[in-house]
Amino acid sequence: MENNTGVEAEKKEKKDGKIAWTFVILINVLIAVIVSFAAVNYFREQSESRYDAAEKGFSSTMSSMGQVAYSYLHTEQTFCDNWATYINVRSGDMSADIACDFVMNVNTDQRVTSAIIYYDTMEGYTIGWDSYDTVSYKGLEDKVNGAFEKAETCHMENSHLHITSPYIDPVSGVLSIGFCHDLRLMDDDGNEESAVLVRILPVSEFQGQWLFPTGYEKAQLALIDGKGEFIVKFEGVEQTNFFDYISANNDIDSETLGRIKNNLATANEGDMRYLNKVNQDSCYSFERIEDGEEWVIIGYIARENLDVTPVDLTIPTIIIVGFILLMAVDGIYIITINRRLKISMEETKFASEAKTRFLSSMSHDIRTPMNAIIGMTTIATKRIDDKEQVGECLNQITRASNHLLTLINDILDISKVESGKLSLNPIVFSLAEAVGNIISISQPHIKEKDMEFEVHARGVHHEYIFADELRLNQILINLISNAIKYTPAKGSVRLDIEEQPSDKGANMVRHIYTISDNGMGMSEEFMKTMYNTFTRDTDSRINTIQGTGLGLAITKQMVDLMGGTIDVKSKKGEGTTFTVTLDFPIAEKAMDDLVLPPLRLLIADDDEIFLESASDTLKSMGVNADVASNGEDAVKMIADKHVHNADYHCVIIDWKMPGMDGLETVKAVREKVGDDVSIIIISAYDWTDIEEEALKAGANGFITKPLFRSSVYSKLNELLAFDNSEKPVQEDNAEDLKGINLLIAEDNDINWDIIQVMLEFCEITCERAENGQICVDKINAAPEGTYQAILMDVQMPVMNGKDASREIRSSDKEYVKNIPIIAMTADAFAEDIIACKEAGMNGHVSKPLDMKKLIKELRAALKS
Amino acid sequence: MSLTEELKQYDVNVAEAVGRFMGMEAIYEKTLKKFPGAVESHEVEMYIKSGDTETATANAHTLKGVTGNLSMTKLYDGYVEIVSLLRGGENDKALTRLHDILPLQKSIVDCIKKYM
Repeated sequence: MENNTGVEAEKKEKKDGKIAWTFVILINVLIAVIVSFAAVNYFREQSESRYDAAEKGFSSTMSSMGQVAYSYLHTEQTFCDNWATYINVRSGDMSADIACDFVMNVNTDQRVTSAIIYYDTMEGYTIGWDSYDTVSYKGLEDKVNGAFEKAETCHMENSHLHITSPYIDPVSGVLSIGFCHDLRLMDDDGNEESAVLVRILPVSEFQGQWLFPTGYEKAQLALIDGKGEFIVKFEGVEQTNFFDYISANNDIDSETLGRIKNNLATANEGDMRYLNKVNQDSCYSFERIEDGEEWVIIGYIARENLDVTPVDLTIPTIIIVGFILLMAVDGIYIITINRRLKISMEETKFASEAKTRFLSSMSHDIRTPMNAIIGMTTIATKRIDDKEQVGECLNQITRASNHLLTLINDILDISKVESGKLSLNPIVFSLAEAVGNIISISQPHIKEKDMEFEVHARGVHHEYIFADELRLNQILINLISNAIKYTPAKGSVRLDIEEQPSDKGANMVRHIYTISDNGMGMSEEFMKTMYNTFTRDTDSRINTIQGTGLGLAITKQMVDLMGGTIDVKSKKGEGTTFTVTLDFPIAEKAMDDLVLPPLRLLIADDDEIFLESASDTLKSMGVNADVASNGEDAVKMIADKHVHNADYHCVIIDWKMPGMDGLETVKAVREKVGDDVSIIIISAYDWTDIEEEALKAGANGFITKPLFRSSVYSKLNELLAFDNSEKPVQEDNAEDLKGINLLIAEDNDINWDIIQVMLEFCEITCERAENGQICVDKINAAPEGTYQAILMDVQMPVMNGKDASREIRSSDKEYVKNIPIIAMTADAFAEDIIACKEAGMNGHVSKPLDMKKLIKELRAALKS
Repeated sequence: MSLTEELKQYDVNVAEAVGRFMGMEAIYEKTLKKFPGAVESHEVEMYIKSGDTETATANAHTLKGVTGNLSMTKLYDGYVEIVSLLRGGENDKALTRLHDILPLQKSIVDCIKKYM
């Protein structure tokens, strides 16, 4: 239920987070849109207002243009009026011919022609630059009559415009307009005749009078009369009427058109917005010409052609883009920070959960051995007289205490690693011995679960390396014990050791340790975090296995500290393979001198890989060994050699083989060839159980897998004695000394502490005598057999070691007189040793004390 | 930093010494704390100066054994030489050699006292 609630809460949290996130994004987008929209709108308005200002300028210009038009027309009209006034007033009664000559003479403008037309006949004269001729204006009445009538009725009033509508001049054939003024002429009979003087100007000349100022170069101008007829057209316009032009280019109804007409008919000036003939939005501005026969001057310019300084969008664009970029960068930054925070939060959460799990697991793991210790102590107390029962209780207490110690060591290690306090203490050591120790440590668990255990060494030429032995052991033991722990009973675990050249230098060597099993494997999910502290895979089977979740973390840290790598391949249900690669400096002690004499050897094992690696090892030592893959073949080969009087010097037979196993093979060999062949049993297992039986069957010795050069050399030499050097002795194994009781004469507390710890470790008990005299007194007072030997410091107060030894040797008691005495001194010179022997001592160990040497001396002294 | 970690800087081979204590670092540390007392009760310099070579040699010999067992390598080497020189009657040289190692001995004693 709690889990479900937790999941629900997590889901809700995620959902809320998503909603909040979406809301924030929407708000941001909204702000960006509003700001952008406001900015665009503002600049569009700015742009519009500039256009509006330009339009007003255009309208104002058109007003001036109206004035210019009026001035021009008025000037032309004035010319006409002056000429007519002279003919009418100054010259008195002037005939048409004379008037024509007059006009011809006063006209100085070659663009201008003139005409004198009689009202009644609409005929008269056309007056050119240097001649005049008759002309008829019949047919042009609708164009000119308006102006003629106005001129006739207002002939006394000068300064008024009397202009015809544009018409095709009958003489030049050019569209023209005429400025009119009334004339009074005398005919041949002296009668007065009414006529009109027309000053004719081509419309094209008239059109060229207007030039728009800078900024309106692309504007166009037209002049229309009261009916909208073009007097002067916009360029390229087909229509003859302005209203037709507007209707043709704009989608407007009759009502609108009526308003336009009314506006133009009544207003003195005004502005309009309509399309031009190429569909450009244009401003039209008109100005009524004063006294201009209802003429209106209209100008238009497409808005896009208005000379408007464009709004400079560079800075606003930069600001907007910058603003958006700022939001984007901030957004990305916030997203990144959020992601990091999320990861950090998850890591913290994970660490917290892992620690909680760890504490829960630890409390269980600590409580279990503690319960055993307390329980067994209680039982032992209750049955204090039952020696056997007490012994069993103590054994269990020891096991539980060791487990507890391992647990605490793991915690201390990881604590050291995490605080960076873990450092390496490299020493020169034998890999063969280290692996041997690891195997013997693993054996009880292997045996308990009846597992297959294989160890192979391939091409290991450098057994002595300079490394931190303790840490290397820790790495391999962790991985092997994990393999054993997480592999079900009867499964298999394998350790492969391979040597390769190192790329880190000529004096370096690379060792690759591969630990593989066919156990329960690991999930991919777990493998991602398996090197983290306090993590264990989640599996109902795993939960029942003791573990702190620290082992792999420690292992990884150690490998890192040693500058190596650790790789893993694992599949759930199929097993796991860890590969540790480490580079070590080669120790000076080389194995190259371990060369075997030309021996005939046979190795029998069902494991082909072992056969191959063992053959390689022996070959590197100068022997080409024969191989047999089973017991039957081995027996045949041995018998065959025997028949040919060329017995193998030694055969190495695997203990566990399918079919005929190692013991059966030994028996068969002995039956066939007797004692002529030395037989070594080889195994990765603890062979102590079969030792007696194997020896009885005829085996000569045992060797532990893998086959290291040193171990095989030593064992073969022990059996075949080809090397005259001293036979190796098991110096570090004090099994045979267990239970003895020693008297230690040592005045110095520090030295006493050390010797006591060393002996207790070998399960040897001891008592202290603080000087030589006490030592002599104690041995004399002790019942026979109390002490098996005395360790005697040489230099002591009251009585030194040599004097004490002499006293002891001079005792009357046989037991005291003959007790072995071993000197302990910081002096290691030959004369010191001789002096000790002269004083009656049997052996000598020097300080600083060395465990192996001490055991060796003790063993030798006790045998003597 | 622990006592054993700190002692490494004074040429104390902690790994070797802990090995001698069968890996029991706690007992090693406990024993180390007896070292200042051992130094005080085995005065060497004063006896050399006063001409009591026998006592000086005996005390130097004891310290040689103690420093060797505690793997105080440099100090041990010093006492090995001092004992040898005293036995050879070269007291002046022994005193000079002692003066060489006394600062180191003092540092080690001070270091240990910090943890007492």
